[in-house]
Amino acid sequence: MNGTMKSPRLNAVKVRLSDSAVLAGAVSLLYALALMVCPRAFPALLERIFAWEHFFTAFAVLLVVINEVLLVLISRRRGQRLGLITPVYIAFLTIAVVLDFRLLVSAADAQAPLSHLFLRAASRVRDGISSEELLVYTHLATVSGIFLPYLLVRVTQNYVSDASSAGQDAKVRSAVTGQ
Amino acid sequence: MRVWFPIESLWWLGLYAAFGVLVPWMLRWTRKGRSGLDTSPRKLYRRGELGLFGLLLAISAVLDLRKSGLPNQLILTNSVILISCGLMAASAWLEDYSRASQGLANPDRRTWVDSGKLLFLVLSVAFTTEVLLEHTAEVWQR
Repeated sequence: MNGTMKSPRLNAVKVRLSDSAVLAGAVSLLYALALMVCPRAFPALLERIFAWEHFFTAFAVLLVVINEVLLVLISRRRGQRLGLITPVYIAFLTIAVVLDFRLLVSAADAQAPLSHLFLRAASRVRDGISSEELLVYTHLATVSGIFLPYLLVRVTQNYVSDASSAGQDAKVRSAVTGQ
Repeated sequence: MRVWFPIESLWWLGLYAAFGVLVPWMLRWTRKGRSGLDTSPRKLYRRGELGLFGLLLAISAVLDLRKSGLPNQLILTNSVILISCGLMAASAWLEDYSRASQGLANPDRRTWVDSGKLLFLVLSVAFTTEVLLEHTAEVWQR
């Protein structure tokens, strides 16, 4: 067999959107259930955790672990070999989503006292982001932290596979021409 | 511990599920005797129609969000995520439609499973959004 045929291909695991949809939906439902069961304790707990300085780091680590476990389960179920590129890509995208939400929450946190100072619009005096806003942001970050990385992988995986196949074909063609 | 029931959200969800999924299925079921049709939901929604329903559900939740008193950036972020989920659900139907229009085969089971799972995502996110809106409204009324 020709040596070029044995060269390693870019091993991107194929995912389907529905793979992550069930997990993201179940987490979202659990979130609603927690709010229904503990309507006062759950927001208070979330606010207390948010005050902890490593909140976003812990959140990002948790989401990355969840997404990587999901990826392993998907690749095992489909019988695909899990390379390095997809897990790293998923971890990168998950951290990017959490960072985006960190920016949004920080902006909202900084905006609250400013709007109170200049606009005097809010009847309630707030020093920072309210627990209701935090509830909504955390829900969105959790759902999108699971769903969006897989959505982006799904959107880009065809290009990665096509580029990989095209590169492989070009190598084979040049090897044949060289012979 | 006092459990809180978001009555409006449950009512809203029940109404949409009834008119979007149950009523069409029941209409089909009532015609079973006369025409001998296969009345299983899988057969009825095999082309990914559940995904289209998911998009409608997402749009209705976004309209509810716009009426809420939440800050604009929060409404925008929530709307973008809801619409993304809705569009992905609708893409299950679109994929099947495109393949069918080009004469390509698309396994019914895959479309049915994908649209069902993506509808579950939209339903969950929309329901939780409504629960959060109801909770926020109650807290702000106090």
